[in-house]
Amino acid sequence: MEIKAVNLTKKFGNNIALDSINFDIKGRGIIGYLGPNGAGKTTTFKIFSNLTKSSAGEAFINGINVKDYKAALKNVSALIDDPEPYKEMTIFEFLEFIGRIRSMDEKLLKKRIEELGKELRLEDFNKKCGQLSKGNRQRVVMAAVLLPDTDILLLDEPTSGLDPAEAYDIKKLLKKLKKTKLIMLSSHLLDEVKELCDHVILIDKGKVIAEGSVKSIIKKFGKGKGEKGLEKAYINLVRGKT
Amino acid sequence: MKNRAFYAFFNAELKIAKSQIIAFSFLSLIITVLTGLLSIKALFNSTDFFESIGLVIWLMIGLAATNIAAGIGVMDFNEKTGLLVLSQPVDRKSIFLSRLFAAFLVLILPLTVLYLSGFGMGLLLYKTSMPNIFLSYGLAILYAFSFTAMVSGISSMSREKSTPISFGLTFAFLAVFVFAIFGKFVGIQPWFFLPYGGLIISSVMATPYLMHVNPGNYFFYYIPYLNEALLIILAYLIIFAAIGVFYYSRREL
Repeated sequence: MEIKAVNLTKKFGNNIALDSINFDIKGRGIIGYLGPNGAGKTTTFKIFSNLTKSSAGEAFINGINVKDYKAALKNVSALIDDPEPYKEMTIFEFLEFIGRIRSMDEKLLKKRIEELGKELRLEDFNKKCGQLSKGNRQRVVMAAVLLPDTDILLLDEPTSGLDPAEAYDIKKLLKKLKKTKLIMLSSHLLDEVKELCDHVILIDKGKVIAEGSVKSIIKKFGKGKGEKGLEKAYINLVRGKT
Repeated sequence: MKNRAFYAFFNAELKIAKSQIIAFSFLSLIITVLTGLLSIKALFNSTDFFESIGLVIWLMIGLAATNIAAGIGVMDFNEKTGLLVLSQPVDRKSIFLSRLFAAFLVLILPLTVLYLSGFGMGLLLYKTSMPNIFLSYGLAILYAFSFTAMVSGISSMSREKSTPISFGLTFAFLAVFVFAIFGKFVGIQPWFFLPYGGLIISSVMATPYLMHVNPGNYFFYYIPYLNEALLIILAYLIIFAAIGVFYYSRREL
């Protein structure tokens, strides 16, 4: 399992969203992808999931260039920037639709929908997605992301907008999944990052500004350590006090 | 893999358009009945009646195709559904074409209702069958496909659904003014204009066939020949389907 960026660059007109970033993540576990708003986190995820094209550089998933997206995306499932299911479909129909797009075996698909329904506490499968609350919609989307059981997950603020109990369920699930999958997690909740991640990459203004294990980042940039060590390290890094 | 994804998108589009299909089919029936009542009041003969039905069909195709196709190229880009759906390992061309074909299929039901009710009204009011019904029906289906392809092509280049809707409705409802300006005043056949090709739907239903040039008519000064109409309709279908595939495959979120 590998996610690799090689001089990855994205420009929107004169604005540089990603400025030749490089990283190579291998193995299992959760990698925190941190940075202030507008740093380029979502843009990176969008490039890795073929929602946008890079202006220069390459992105690889399990060694496959995302330019060959039909092959590369078989290994990855992504939750990016608060997506929504089709409101005309029921929860079951939407999950079935995602499974069929992925050409999942019908028996396996039904089994996975049932499993995820229990794990994510999805309510009435026959309810239209357009009638769901924000929290329930987020859980349906999370179920759709987890449905194909890919080796790699790209998760952009998966607990955003959820109440503490819903966020707890997602975190519990991620702790289970990190044993078998490679997960790249973007979050502004540093306590969540500390709880879940083994390794972090910090970006700002489209550039990687720090990378390493959570402990090493706190030790190197935290100045004061303790409970708020990662928060201090983060603030020091993005405000250039290192 | 490719086929299952294609059918998944195809079925999803049918599901999304379900309420529109029912609404347009119902509306088609009402309009045909109203046209029949108007014919009685205006003392139309059977030729006038069938020609009017042909024009109603021509207008309804513009209205229905615009509504059904406007979302095809834009829906996943201006709503947040695309963030999940377009990040799947599916060929973008396949997504666009599956939705386009679903829209084609969807349009056949209101069209069939229009022809069946027109046929029924003709029998009831004039005891005569609709002339060239199968030819006109075939041409109407082709025109509907072409109009759908045009609106979906515009949709794939648009940021908002309102753009293809405005474009399609303007094309459908202001067509007669284009005919008048280019035909009566400038003296040029509007062969570059899809609704001009669509006029064949109505003209084949008039017996005898309408003249190619009608000097007394401001709005329908020129009426296309069958081969001319077919060429216009097919050219729009191919060109705009290709434009739609091209832009949809390259769009970014």
